[in-house]
Amino acid sequence: MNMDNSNIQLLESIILKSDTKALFPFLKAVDKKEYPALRKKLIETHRKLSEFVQILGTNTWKSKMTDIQSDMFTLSGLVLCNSAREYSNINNTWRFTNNNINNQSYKKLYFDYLELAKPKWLDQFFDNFFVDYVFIRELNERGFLTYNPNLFVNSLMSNTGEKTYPEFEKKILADPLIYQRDLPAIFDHSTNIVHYAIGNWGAKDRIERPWNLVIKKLIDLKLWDKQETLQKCIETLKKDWKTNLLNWYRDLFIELTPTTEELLAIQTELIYLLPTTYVGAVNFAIGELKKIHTDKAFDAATFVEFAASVLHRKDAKGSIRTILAMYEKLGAENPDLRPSMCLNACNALLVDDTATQEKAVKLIAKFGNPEDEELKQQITQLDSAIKGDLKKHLAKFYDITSNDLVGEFDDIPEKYTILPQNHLKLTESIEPIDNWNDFVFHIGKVLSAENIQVDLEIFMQSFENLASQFPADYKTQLMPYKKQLSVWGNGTSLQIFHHFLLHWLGDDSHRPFVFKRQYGGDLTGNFVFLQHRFTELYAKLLLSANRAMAQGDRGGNEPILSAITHAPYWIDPVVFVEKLLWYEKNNIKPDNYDLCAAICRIAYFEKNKKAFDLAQQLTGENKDLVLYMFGDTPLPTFKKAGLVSNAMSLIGNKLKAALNQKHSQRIENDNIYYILAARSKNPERRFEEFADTAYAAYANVIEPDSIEWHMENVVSTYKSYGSNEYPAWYELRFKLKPHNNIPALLYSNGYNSDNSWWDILHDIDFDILISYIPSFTDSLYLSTAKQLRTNNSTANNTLAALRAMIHEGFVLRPIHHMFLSLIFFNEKKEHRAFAAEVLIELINTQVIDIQQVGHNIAELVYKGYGSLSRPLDCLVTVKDVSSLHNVALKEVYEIIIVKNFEENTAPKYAKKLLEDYFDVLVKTNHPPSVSVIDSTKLWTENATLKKIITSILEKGGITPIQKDKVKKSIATPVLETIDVAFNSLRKFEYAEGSSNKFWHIAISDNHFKVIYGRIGTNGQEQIKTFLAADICQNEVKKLIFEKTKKGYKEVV
Amino acid sequence: MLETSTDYAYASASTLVQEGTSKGLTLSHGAEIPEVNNVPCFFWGKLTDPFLTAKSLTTIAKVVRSRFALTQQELAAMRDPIVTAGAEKIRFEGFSSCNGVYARLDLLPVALDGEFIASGTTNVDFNDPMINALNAVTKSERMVLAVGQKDVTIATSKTKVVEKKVALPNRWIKGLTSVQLLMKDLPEAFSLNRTQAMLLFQTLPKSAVKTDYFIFFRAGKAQFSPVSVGNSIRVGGVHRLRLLEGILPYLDSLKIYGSPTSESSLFVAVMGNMRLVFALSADAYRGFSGEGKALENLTSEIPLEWIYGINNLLKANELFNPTMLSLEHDIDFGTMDSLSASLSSIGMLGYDAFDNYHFYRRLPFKMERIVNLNPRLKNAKKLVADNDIILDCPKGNYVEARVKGSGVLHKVIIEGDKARCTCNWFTNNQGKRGLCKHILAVKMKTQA
Repeated sequence: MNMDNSNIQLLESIILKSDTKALFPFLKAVDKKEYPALRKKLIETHRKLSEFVQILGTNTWKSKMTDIQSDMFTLSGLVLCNSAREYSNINNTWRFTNNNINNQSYKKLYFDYLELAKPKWLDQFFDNFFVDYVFIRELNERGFLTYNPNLFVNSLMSNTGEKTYPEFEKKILADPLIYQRDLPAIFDHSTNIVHYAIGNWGAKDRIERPWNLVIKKLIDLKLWDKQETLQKCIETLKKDWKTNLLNWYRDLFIELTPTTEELLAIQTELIYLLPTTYVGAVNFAIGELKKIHTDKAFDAATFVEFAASVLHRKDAKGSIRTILAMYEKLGAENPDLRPSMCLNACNALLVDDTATQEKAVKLIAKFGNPEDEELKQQITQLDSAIKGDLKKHLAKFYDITSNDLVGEFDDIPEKYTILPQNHLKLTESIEPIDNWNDFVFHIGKVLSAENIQVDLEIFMQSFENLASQFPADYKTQLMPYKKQLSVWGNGTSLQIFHHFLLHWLGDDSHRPFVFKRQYGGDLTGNFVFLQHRFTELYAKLLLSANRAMAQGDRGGNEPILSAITHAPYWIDPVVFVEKLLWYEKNNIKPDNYDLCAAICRIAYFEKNKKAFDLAQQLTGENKDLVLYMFGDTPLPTFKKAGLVSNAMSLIGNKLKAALNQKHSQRIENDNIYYILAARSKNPERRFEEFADTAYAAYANVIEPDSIEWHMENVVSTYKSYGSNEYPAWYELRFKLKPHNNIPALLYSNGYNSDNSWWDILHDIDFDILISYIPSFTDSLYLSTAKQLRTNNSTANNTLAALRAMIHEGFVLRPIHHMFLSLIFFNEKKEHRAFAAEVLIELINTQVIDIQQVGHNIAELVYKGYGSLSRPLDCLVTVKDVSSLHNVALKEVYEIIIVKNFEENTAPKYAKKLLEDYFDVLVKTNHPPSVSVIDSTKLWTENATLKKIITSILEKGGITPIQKDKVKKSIATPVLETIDVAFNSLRKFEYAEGSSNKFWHIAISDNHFKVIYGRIGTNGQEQIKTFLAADICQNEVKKLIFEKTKKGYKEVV
Repeated sequence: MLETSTDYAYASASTLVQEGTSKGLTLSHGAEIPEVNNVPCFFWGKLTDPFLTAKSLTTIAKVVRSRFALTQQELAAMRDPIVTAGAEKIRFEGFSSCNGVYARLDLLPVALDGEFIASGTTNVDFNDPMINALNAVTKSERMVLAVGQKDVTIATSKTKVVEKKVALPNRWIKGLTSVQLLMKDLPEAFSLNRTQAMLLFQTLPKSAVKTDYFIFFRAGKAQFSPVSVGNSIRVGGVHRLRLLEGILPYLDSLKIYGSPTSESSLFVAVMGNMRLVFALSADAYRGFSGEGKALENLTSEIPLEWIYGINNLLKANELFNPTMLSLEHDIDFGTMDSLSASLSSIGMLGYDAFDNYHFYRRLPFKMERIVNLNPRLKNAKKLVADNDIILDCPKGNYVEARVKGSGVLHKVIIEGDKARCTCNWFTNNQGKRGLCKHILAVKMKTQA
C-alpha cells in the first residue's frame, strides 16, 4: 500500500500514448508486488477507453480505443491478469483471433509476454475459446497450455488455412498428431465439422466436407481402422447433439460403404442404436440392418428384442414397416422368436396408419398363436386403434365372434342432425367486492391478467359501490402497484386500465378520467380500440368508477346498465329492466353508450317473460324498446333517413371527426337501439324494417352478411431475388361491406377493410371485445379470419377466438364455420389441435353444421388454400369419440371425397382420405353414399387407390367390374385425357458433385409437363392439370423459381 | 443473481462390465459430507430384473442430461443423480438441467437381492460409457449392482482411476427441497395400463409447445389435448414427457397425479419391482427450484442439533412417522403435518406418492448450505431483523400488516391459510409460486 504511484501512472500513460515499445520493458522491470495495483489500473483504463463516442463530424460511433491499444491490453493482460475471467474482460477476442494470430511478429511478441508471465489460467481461458489450431499446438508444445481434446479438435475444425484440397490432405497426412490424437476426438466432442469446407462460398472449386475425404484416405492408407471408425460413428449417433451434426456421422458411415462382413461384425452396435431418441439414427440403423438380416450370422433374437422400442414410434412409420418385413423373414426360420415378435408387432397397431397396421396384422395372423393369452389380451386392448376392417384378420384372437367386432357403439345414429340451440342458462353470477381490503388485492388480480375480462368487470362494478368507503390514504396504500403500472400491459384493454389507475392515483384524481382527451393524441389511429370504436365506450365504462371519482359523495348512485351480472359476459334481463326503472324514477337519462352495450349483452330469452312483465311499469321513451326486446311486439316503422345521415359515409374524415361529438345524440335519433336489439335477439333474421334507415347499407343491419371469399393471385414484390422469376401465390380474401363509424354499431365493425393491421388483436382484447357483442360475433371473427390469408399466417387471437366458440350461448354462423375450417389448414400445430377439440365439442352439442365444415374444407383445398393433409389429421382426432362423431365425420369425408374426385387431375391425399373414410364406414356400419360410389368407381383401375376403393364399393354392396387384363396396362385416367401438344419447352440442368440431373418443363393451356432424371437417360414424365391456364402458368413460374434457387441452370 | 454451486469429486468412474457370467454395475459415489464420502459401499447384490433396471436408469440419465430452458453454456456442467440406499430399497433421484423435470427410480425390496452394507444418500457418477453399456443390456442377462466399491483395492486396480469433478448447482439442491411438497398436494387422477399409456403417448405433441395441455379420458382412451374437458390433468411443457417414451413398452401401469388447475403434474410408471416417478414443473421455463413452496415451512426454524439427531434415529429410506418421533423424543412441533413439511423443505424427507408416505433421506450436502439457499427467506429474515413490519390489527387468525418495500409500504393480510400482498411477486403469481418475502416476514413476526 505504501508503493508510490509512479508506476501506475506510467502504465496508464504508456497505454494512452500507445507506446508499444515501452510496454514490455516496463512490465519486465516492475516488481511483482506491484501487479495487483497495476492490474487495477489496467482494468480501469480499459473501461475508460471502451466508451463509445461519436466521431467528430460524422454519424459514426466508435470506441475510444485504438487497435494498437487493444493489442496492448491483450498483451499486458497476460502478465497482469489473475484469472481467465479477468483476462477475457480486457482481451479483444475479435482482433485476437482474426487479425493477429497468423502474424508472425505479433505471435513472437505474444510468446515473449507469455514467457514473462507464465499465466496459470491459460488452460481455463482457452477452455471454451477456439482459435487457430497451429497456434494452439504451439502453445501446447511450448508448455503454456495442457492438452485438452475438446479445445484441440474444435480448433482443428475452425481453421480454414488451406486453399485447395490436395494441400489440405497433404498437411493432415503429414501430421500424426492430427490424425492420431486430435481428429479422433470428433467422436467425443461436438464440433463444427459439418460446416467445414475448403474454398469460398459459391466458388466452383469449393470442396464441401473435406474431412470425409481425408478420413476415407486415412482408412485406405490403413492409418485408421475401418471397423473401429464404423463403430465409433454408431456410438456417436447416440449422443444428444444437433441433428445435422449427427447426420454427418451417419453419412460418413454410409460413405465408407461397409461390406456385409463388416456390417455383421458391428451388428450388435447397430441394434443397440434402435432405442435412441433421434429418429434419423433409428432409420439409419434399420436401413443397415436390413442389408444383413438374411445372413446366417445375423443376431435375430437381439434384433427382435430391441426393435420393440421402434414399433410404436409414429415418427418412424417407414422403419416400422421395414422391421415388420424383416420379422416376417426371420420368423419363418426362427419359430421360437414368433411369440415375442407378435407381441412387439402389436405396438405397431398404435400407429395411425393403415399400411403399417396392415403389415402388423398380417404378421400376427401368420405367426401368432391363438392360445397365447398375453397376445390375445394385447389385441383386445388395442381393438379401438385398429383401422378399417383389418381386425377381420385377427378374428381368431378374439374370444367373441368376429361379427360382434364390427361397430364400436351400440347406438349408431342414422345421420348427424343439428339441434336447435338451447337457451343460455345464467349460472355464474358476478358479485361486486364489498370491502376495501379485498378491493386492494383485486386490483393485483386484474394486473396479473389471468382472467382479465371478468376481473375488470368486477373492478368496475366494485369501484362505484365502494367509492364512499375508500380510506383517506388510499393513494399511499396502492402506491406499490404504481411500479407495475409503468410497464405496458399486454393488449390495449390492460393499457387503458393502467392509464385509469395512474390517473386515479395521480394528482388529478378529482377530475374525471377522460381517456380520449388525455391520451387520445397518442392513441388515435395507433390502437385497435379506436378503430373498433370501442375505446370511447370502454373508457366511459371505466367509468361509472369515473363518475364516482368526480362526484365524490354522489358516487355510486347511478347503476351501470351494461354491467354484467353473470360470467362471462351476460346481463340478466330482469336486472336490466330494474335498473331502467331506477333511471325513470330518479328522472335521469341513462348514458347512450351504456344502453347500447347493455342491449348487446342481454341474455335474451332467459327470464324474458318476467322482464317483459316488469317492463310494463316503465312509462318513458324506452318502454317500447324494452317491450320489443323481451316480447313479441313488432318493430316500429322508421322514418326515411335524412340527408345528413345518408351523406355520412361519404363525408371526409375531418368532417366525420367533427360530427363524432354528436354521436351520442345520433344514437337516439337513428334508433340504433332497435338495430342492436333486433340483431342480438335474432342473429339470423332479415329485418326489412331497417331498409330506410341510414344504416341500411352496413353489414349485418338488414340481414346477416353472407360470407363470400376467393383466392387472389399475389405476386411477390421483393425485387432482390436476383432472378427474373417472381414467385406468386394465392391469398384468401373476403368480400366486405362498409362498416359504420358509430360506436354503437359494433355489429358492423371490422368490415371496413380488406385486411388491416388494426384487426390484429391481443387475446385479452379479444375477450373484452367479444364481451360487448356476445350474441352476434360475426364482425370479430371476420376480422380474425381475414388475417389467415395463407395457411402459414396466424391471427394473434386465434386461441381466444377458438375458446369462445365453445362457450355456452355462442351463436355459430357461417363465418365461424369458415374460421374453424381455416384453422384446420394452419401451420401452427397447437392451433390445429385446439380447433379439432372445438369441433369435437360442437359435434357433441350438435350445434355445428358439419356439412358446412366439409364444404369449406373441400373448397379451400380446391381453390388452393392448402393441401388436405392437415385437415385430415385434425379430422382423425374426431374419430371414435362417439358414434355420433363417427357419423358426423362420415358426412364430412363424403363431401370432401366427392369434391376431390371431381377434379380432373389425380386427387391428392386420396389414399389417406379414403382409408380414413373406410375406417368410419366400418365403425358406423353405414354404407358409402351414392355420390361417393359414383365419384370413386371410375378410379378402380388406379394402382394406388384400387384396393381401398374396392373395399368401399363392397361396403356399398357393389362388386367392382371384373378386372380386364388389357385395361390394366393403362396407368391412370389422367394421362388418358390429355392429348395436347406441349410447347415452349424450357430445359434446366444441374451438375454438381455427384449430381447430374436435368429437368424440362413444357406448358400447354392449363397443363404442364415435366420430364426429369439423370442426364443421359430418358427420364420420367409427369403431367399436371389445373383449373385455368393462368394458375398453371403461375405454378410453372413457382417451380422454375424453386429449381433455379436450388442451383439448376437453364440451357438454351 | 449469480449461480453458485457445490463441487465434489469421484475417486473413479462408474462402470458396467462383464464379470464372469454376469455384468457388474459399479457406481462410484462422492459427497461433500466426509462421513458419507468415507462409506466405501452402500449396497452390493444382484438385480432381479436387470433389463428393466437398466432401462429405468437410462431414463434417469436422459433426464439429468436434458434441458428445456437453458442455454448451451449453462449445460456445460454435467449432472449426476443422487442415490439413497437403505431400508431394503434403493432410490435414484435427479433433475433436468433446467430443474423443471424430476425423476426418481425406486427399486423395491423384491428388485434387489443383496446386502445393504450402509444406509445413506450420496451422489453417483453417471458417465457416457456406462450409460451406453446400460443401453445394451438385454433381457437374458444377469447383473450385479454395487453402490460404491465393496472391495476398494480390487476395484481400483481394475478400473482406471479418473477423478471427475462435478459442479452441482444450488438450484438442484433447492429443487430437492421443494419437489416433494408439491408432489404431496397432487391427487391421483388416472391409472392406465400399458396399452392405454402407449395410446396416450401417441397423442403427445412432437415438438416443444407453449400452451398448456390436459390429459383426460374420451371414448375410453386417455389423451393429451390443448383443451380441458371435464375431469382432466393440467400438464405444462408437455413435450418434456417424451423423456418417458423409452420405457413405455415395459410398463405395467402408469399412474397420473394432478388436477385441471394444479401447477405441477406427476407420473408414476410401475414396472415389475420398480417404479419410476416423474414430475413436471408448471411450465418448461419454470424450475422446481423457484417454486418457493418450501419457504412457508422454513419460517419456524428447526434446531440444527435436532436435525443431526434425527440422522441417528432413522435409516435412509425408512418410513417417516412424525407421531412416533415426537412421542419418543418429546418434541412439540405444532401439528405433525407441519413437522413433515418442515423436514421436507430442508430435503430431509422424500415423498412416495404411490404408497403415500414420507421417507427419510439426508441429502449429501452440508445442512448450512440447504438452509441458506433461499434468498427470499433470507430477505424475509432481514425484514424482521430490521424491524420493517408494522402489525396493524392482529386478531386470532387474522393479521393485517404493512411491510417496507422499496419506497412504498406493502399491505399484507393473512387470514388463516389465505395470505395476500400488494407486491410485484404476489401480483404476478397470485400465490401460485410460494409466498413472497413480505408475507413470510409477517408470518415470522407473528409466530415469534
